[in-house]
Amino acid sequence: MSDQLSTVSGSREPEADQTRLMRGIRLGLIGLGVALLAWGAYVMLDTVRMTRLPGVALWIIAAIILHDAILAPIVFLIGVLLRRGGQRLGGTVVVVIQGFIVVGSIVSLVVVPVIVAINYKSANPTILPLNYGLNLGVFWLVLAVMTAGLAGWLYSRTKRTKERPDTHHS
Amino acid sequence: MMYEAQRALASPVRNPRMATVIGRLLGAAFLICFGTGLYSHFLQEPLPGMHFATRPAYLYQFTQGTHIIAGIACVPLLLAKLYIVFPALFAWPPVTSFWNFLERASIALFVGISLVQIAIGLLNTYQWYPWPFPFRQVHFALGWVLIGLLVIHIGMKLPLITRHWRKAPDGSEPEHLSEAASPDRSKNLEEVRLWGGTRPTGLTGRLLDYIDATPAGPSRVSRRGFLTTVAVSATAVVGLTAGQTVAPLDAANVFAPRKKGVGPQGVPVNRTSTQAKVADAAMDAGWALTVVSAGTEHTFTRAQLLAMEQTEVRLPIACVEGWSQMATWRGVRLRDLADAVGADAGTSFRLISLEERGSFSKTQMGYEYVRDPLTVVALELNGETLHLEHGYPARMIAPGRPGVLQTKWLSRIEAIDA
Repeated sequence: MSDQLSTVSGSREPEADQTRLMRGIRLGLIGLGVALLAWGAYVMLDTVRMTRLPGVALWIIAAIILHDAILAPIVFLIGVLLRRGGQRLGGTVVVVIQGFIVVGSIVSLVVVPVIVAINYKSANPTILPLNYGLNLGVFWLVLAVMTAGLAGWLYSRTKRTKERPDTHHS
Repeated sequence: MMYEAQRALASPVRNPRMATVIGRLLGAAFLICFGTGLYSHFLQEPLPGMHFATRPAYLYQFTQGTHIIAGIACVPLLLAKLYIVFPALFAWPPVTSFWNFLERASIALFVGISLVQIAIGLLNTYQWYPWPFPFRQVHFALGWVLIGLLVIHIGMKLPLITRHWRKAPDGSEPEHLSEAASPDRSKNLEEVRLWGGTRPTGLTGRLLDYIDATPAGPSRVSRRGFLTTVAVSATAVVGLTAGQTVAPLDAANVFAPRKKGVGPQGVPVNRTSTQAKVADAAMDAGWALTVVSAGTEHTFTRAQLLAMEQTEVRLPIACVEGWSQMATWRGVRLRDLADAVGADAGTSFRLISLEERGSFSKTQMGYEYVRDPLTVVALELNGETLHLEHGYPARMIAPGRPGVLQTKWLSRIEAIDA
């Protein structure tokens, strides 16, 4: 079993690295984890009605598919297209633009559900009291201005460096 | 093809060092959420014999605010972690041994449950429930499952984690994750036998050529840019929402589901009198609060309560959904009422609301809160008669308790004779 364990994560340490201590800690952690997992499963079966469990499983599977098959490939494609389109701009500027898209998207990921949820909200004027659509628009605008400023500064700096042949390297 | 996928996905930020750096932040956030979540759970459903600290009075505001803040920070951290390890999805052959199968299965479950747990936790703070299962029970059970999977994951990856815990001392370029999983794959004869010496042709081949021809970003800039992006994302989502509980950040609160000061008498409301269907009973002129202990029963009208010694306390109302609001409450100390019916110092009480349905219409309060001088049956809020939405004619307010236990529209307070 311990031999099998050492191959679990595809690790390739020399035998000496796999000390007894490390094996012991790993086995202990995995054992503890399995116990916690089993307890969680018991709590789930104990407190949630059987008829609701397929819904939980469905959400977990849907989350994996949503990330692995939809979100991640889109992120990959955007990355390739950006690096392609940004060849003339230089790597640093492309990274800044990537950062702009990622930051904006992650904030949107948190805020867009609020905008949807307003349609379902109960008659409680103290929940979701802000103008989230407007705020999100302003956020993107501010982020775009900051990104443009940073990218512009980096671009002009790169260009200046390139224009001086002495300091030009690769 | 899987090999080509891994190659195409290779990036300077997709390496075990980066996985360790982001992974330990995410792991810490998960542990914080789990710990504060457990605390909140046991406050609401204490095991027999459990007692809690009543000071500092903002304890629950702090723990639950932290729960939600750490949960929101998990959004960028989890996506970053998944971005780093994404090429591992295309490991080939997909399963190398029974142990490897178990590990990959546990990671799939880990990823799925992490995403679900964060998503439903976030949507719960918006009071939007688009899923076909009960939130509280599932969020609690999945919390245990998730921590189990985290501990298993750390156990599985421990050699990798210890190797990359510190930056490589020689400043060498970190290896790519796919290489770590399977070293020198491209030079391996076995690879050539498995995949053939040529690349795929046709559309797939052209696509791969296109990706190959795409310049990779400079490594150091890419890695720094990645870390900066994650840091800025986390700062943005936390900084622009945390004002719902952290007062100094109120001005930056543009995205949180609650805003400090928005609500009747400057305090937000979690459950309205309409939702609780209590308006008629609460406005009834014949209302009186009944206090019971060991056969002794006293009723107090609002006028009688107002005639007793009044105590003013500054306490936050802190919701499980992560928002909080400091307020000034005025009313009768609960311990005075407990004394009036002859309850001793070790007696815990059951608080019963006029609300007939609702999971918190009957709750328990341990004696440590009953005897606390800050625990008050509030009749006034911020200098005015308590608003109906805040629990008129009388509500409970105690230090360090979740909002759902600060029973509104009080009807009856009875000793639990153990």
